[in-house]
Amino acid sequence: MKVQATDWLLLSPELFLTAAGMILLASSVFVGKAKEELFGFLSVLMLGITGVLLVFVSTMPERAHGPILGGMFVVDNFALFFKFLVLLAMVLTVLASVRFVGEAPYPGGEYYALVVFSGVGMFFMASGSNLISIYVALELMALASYVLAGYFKGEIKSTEAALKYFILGAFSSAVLLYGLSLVYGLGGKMGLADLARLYTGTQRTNAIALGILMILAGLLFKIAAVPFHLWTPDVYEGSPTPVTAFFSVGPKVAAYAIFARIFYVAFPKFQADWGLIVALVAAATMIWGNLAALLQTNVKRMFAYSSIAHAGYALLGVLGFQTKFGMWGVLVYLLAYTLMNFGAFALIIFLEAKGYAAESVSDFDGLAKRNMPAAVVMLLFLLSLAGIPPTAGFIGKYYLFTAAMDAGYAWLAIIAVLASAVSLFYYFRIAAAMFFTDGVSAKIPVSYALTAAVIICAVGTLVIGVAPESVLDVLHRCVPSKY
Amino acid sequence: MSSPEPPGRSRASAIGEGTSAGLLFLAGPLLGYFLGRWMGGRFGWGEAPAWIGGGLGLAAAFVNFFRLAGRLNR
Repeated sequence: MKVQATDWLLLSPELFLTAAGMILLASSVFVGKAKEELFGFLSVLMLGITGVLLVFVSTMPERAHGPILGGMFVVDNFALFFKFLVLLAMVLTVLASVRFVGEAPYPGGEYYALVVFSGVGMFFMASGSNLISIYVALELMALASYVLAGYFKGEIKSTEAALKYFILGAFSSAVLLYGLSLVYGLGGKMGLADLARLYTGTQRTNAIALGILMILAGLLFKIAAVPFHLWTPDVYEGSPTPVTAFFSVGPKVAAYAIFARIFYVAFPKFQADWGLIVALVAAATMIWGNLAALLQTNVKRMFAYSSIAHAGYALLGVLGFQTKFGMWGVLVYLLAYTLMNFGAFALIIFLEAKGYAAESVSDFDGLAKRNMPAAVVMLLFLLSLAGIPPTAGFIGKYYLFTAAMDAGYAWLAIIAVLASAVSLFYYFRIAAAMFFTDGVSAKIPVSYALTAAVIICAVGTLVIGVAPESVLDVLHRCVPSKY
Repeated sequence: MSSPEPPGRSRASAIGEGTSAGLLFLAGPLLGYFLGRWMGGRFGWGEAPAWIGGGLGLAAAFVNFFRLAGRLNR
């Protein structure tokens, strides 16, 4: 394996983040519960330094030399985009957690360390260009996530969420691993670029199809697509809300990164085979996600089903990989989704206080009278999630639906439009509760860190919706090449 | 951890009502817009009836939504 000194520099954000996680974990032994807020600010500082390192890496000309560490990783614009997005999700999670974790009777240092370790896994997933590095990165992300889901270990719902997530996650990892080993066994290659070259002149065999199908099933579980979505509502409901917010964006974003790498780089030749399966899954995911959300009165479960539906929309971009808007649309949508979905969850955390859980739709009753800015910002996120202009969600959906049309999946685009219309009902239901209902006068405690997270999400959602050109231009440069 | 069901309503009827209320946000304005456009062309009233029709369609969708949301919250 050929390794150069600059390879380590290119991976400096990951290495620093790993060290940061270990420092947080070790220092949690010495810092008491009373001073736990320090961990939150220390985490934000370390994530900020990681951001600076990512900017530094983005200016390094050595990136153009292709895969590093013997073909294990690649640090192209595509990987950097996903790393920035994961970093954004981590910063938002930490900001949203400061008050929440401070009030909880569990040690905070471990919590922040787990968020960071999970993020390291996602960073490596974004850069993975080899079947082994992709799988190990995915497991690193998943193992930290399982523990995060059960962070409230004294609460039965949290423990149940962690167990369900672990058991079903382990099952899907096994399926994915079977798929990866089949593909390796048939081709004798681990690198995605090598696999792409190998399969360029090869006819599809049933064994390859089975391998691809198993990889597909494993990845569809990670993005919570129907019929692999069953874990999502219970895990989202049982996990601490900042963790739910993190799960709803971070792991999904990272899973789409490897989805794109594997299917765009290694298996584009077999799109006729996997395309139909993905199209049917996308249709089922959009329809079932939205219909099931209609029935929910628990907001966390409602957003769980909403996130399932959004996974279906993003699959439209996967189907349109070969078109102008396909991959571009996925990037735009994931950025928009991260901002609007995390923003909505941040508002749920904002309303949560001791003795008042903002988990039911009725908990939003009369929010406009209690805190008008919070109600207006929540309305912005809901409109964006529904895809109403001028918000980020509309721009993202426009690109995805166009990609599906261009790729010959007009029927799927029509289903997507109808599913979006159905989603208006449950999003507007929360809006109606906020503006047109009298509620209790529960006091909303102020958290500056959480307010900062909400502002970041709101500004991003509006800027992408009102003036998308600059963002779209940057994202267009992040579409990966088939190296 | 299943979510509580509103009493007296079956899952199917809840899905049906919610779906139709959501779809009306799409169908209402579209129907109103095209009906208005046809009237504008038929009677020579220009573009205005199309936008008025679209607005009325949206208003109808909201009226239907609030009626249903009010019933669900009771």
